[in-house]
Amino acid sequence: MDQSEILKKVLCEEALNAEEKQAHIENLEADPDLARSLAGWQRFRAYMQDRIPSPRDFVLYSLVFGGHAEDLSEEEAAEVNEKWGALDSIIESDPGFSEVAAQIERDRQDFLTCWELEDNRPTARVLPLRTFRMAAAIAVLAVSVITILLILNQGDVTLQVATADPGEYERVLLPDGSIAHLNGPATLRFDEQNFSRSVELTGVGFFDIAHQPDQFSVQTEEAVARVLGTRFGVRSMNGLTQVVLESGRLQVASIAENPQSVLLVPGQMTSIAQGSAAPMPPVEVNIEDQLGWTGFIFFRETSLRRAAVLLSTSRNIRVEFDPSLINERVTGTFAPDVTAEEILDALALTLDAEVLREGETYRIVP
Amino acid sequence: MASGNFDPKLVQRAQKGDEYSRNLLLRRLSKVFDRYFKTKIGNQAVVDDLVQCSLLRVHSGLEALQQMDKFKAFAMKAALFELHDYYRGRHSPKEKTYEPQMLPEGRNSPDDWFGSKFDAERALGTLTPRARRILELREHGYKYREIAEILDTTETAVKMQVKRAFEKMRSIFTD
Repeated sequence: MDQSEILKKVLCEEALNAEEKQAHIENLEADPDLARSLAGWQRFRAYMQDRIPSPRDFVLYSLVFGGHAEDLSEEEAAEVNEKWGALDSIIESDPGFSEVAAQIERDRQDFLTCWELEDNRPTARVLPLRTFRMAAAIAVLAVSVITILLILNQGDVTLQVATADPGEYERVLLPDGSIAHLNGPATLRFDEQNFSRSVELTGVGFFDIAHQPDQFSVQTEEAVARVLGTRFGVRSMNGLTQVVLESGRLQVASIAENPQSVLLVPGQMTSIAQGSAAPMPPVEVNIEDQLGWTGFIFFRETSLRRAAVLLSTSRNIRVEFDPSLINERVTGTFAPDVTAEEILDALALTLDAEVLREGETYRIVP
Repeated sequence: MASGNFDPKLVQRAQKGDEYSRNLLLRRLSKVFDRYFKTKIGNQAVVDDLVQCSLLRVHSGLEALQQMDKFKAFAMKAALFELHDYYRGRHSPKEKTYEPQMLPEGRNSPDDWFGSKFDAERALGTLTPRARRILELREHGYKYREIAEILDTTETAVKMQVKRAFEKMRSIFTD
């Protein structure tokens, strides 16, 4: 048995199997100097551990060290000031500590990234209407998880394939900041590494496109939709692609030979059958109904009475409101994974109202 | 003016004891914590624990928060405290590097050899800057694999440095 390898394992706190442990004990008994050295090593490690600041002190110190003193409360700032001399001398003398401080800076940045993703998620929003008492635009963050199920390497192309199973919802953050909401069954393919604002869709998707100078395109087996920045739904199944535009402008073309295209404005829908060279002429539709298949809830100057019904139906809860709010209208878009409470909270903030809960019944009151 | 999911008004209502607002705030925050700890720690059970502990920190500290617009920093610190408590706690050399049953009979602890005579500073002086850096990172709770990533080297190379550090110190320990 390799004693040197066993010793390395002991020093690096790796588990020994029974045979190795027995060999090590025999070695210690045969070599008192080794036993004494290992005892000294243990004592030395304990000394090292005792001299480092507590995690809390170190995090606070590192925040200040990294130029983020504003993150500290007054009490925390006073604590750090008091201990600054001691902490500073440790950092100065021990190179490992400055690396941990740098690691804490990275930890901070990672947290802020996660925060921004949740805080500014654009999947649901309520827009101000003249009937609102409080003319505030608010955004509600959706609850969702990005699931990239498969990565295929095809030469220089790294193809990401995101899928949503039947009845499931998946939110996919694309490299340019655009978001695809898949309402299963659906599959989305795109090149992650060399993203050229182009994706392929099968099934149902709702797209929230980040505005950039370059066009963004969504291709199905029948059609291609090209935009700059907009929100729209695509349903591609059984040889037919339907496209409904919620906001912005959208060009939809066939992928057949000699394709023709149509331009949609908000609230319009077009469709293309497989093999057809021309999309159907755009028609005006009710967004609430025609984009229902995306799994989203759309309120477009919707009366509070109807909003309550839509919400009750989709989230299987009971929603009531005070009669004084009967003339209020709301506008908003809510992703499938936004909870009823989050939607109610958004509505209440916009209406300057409160939400009371009595059992399974929610009541919106002024 | 509302702003995002963590509107200061919502934080203020939660702080004043409105149960609905507090639950909503913590539920939203749990998503941030969950996303964050998943990026840091692979083990879902550990992630769940860290999320719960961070939420508890926020829950118990919310009343003392004086500026609602500092809620983000307040939540960030809760997560960082928990993360680094976890790192530190998952490694305790006093318990793991040396099991009492491995010591020769009559020697139950390092103190049996050294008593109060132990020159740690002299031992520290034998370390190369790189070895010292590795051991310091280890005491902060980083795994050898993580230390290797931080120092842009391999785990094997890091462990070899640890063994070399020990070999250098042996003459001091056996003086």
